[in-house]
Amino acid sequence: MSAAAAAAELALDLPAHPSSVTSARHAVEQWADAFGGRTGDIALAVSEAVGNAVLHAFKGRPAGTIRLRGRHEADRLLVEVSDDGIGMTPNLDSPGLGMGISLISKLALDVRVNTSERGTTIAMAFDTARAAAEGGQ
Amino acid sequence: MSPSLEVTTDMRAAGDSEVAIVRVRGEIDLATADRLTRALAGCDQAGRLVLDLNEVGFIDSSGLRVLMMAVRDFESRLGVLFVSGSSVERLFEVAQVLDRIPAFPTQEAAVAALADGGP
Repeated sequence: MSAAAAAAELALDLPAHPSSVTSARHAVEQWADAFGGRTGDIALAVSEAVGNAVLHAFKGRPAGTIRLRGRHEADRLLVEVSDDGIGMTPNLDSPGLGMGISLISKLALDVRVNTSERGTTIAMAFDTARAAAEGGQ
Repeated sequence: MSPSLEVTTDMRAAGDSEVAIVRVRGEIDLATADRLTRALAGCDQAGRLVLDLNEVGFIDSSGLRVLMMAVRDFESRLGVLFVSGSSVERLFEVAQVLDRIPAFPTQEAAVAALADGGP
């Protein structure tokens, strides 16, 4: 599928359940593949972001919703994973917390995390294939 | 969407102890990593462990955590197989653990090396 024929935007709302990690990853893979670029890196970053939300965003309260959004702007794929959970809080019982964000920061060109008591949004930017090629990567 | 992961374990005699060959096929993420954890827990009596990830199409930090526990528990009695250029190798690179993974090209090479006392 060409980029022109691809869906310009990705929008998917998922329950905060482990199976949503798989669903979100497959959806973003299919969407991003049309634009080229490092689809595998985008899939891994989304898997980490959704996994973090499933594990940590709804502790002590009913599981809520995780939103996956993607859009293509110029030579970038902009992907957001957000939740309506409790926000990021230090948790000494979760030694794995932090690995996901660390991996995302190495996979994406740019990462922004916005967290509050109303939830967390992880916004990630990735090169498209054309941008990566022109950049000599 | 139902995640897909198959984990099969074969026990082989090698030298004076058994080698567990754990073959993983599919995608390892938060939805499936527990299956790998359970499979490896069932190998705790094996003298050596070969973890074949050649048919793993995807792995994230959920799977990496399980793998690093095996590295810690089995130390030099562990061998890992994965395809060069795969998503498995990519995760190892990004997580900067490639030098801690005892990699082997084939099951046979891993079994032979581990039977001799480690990689």
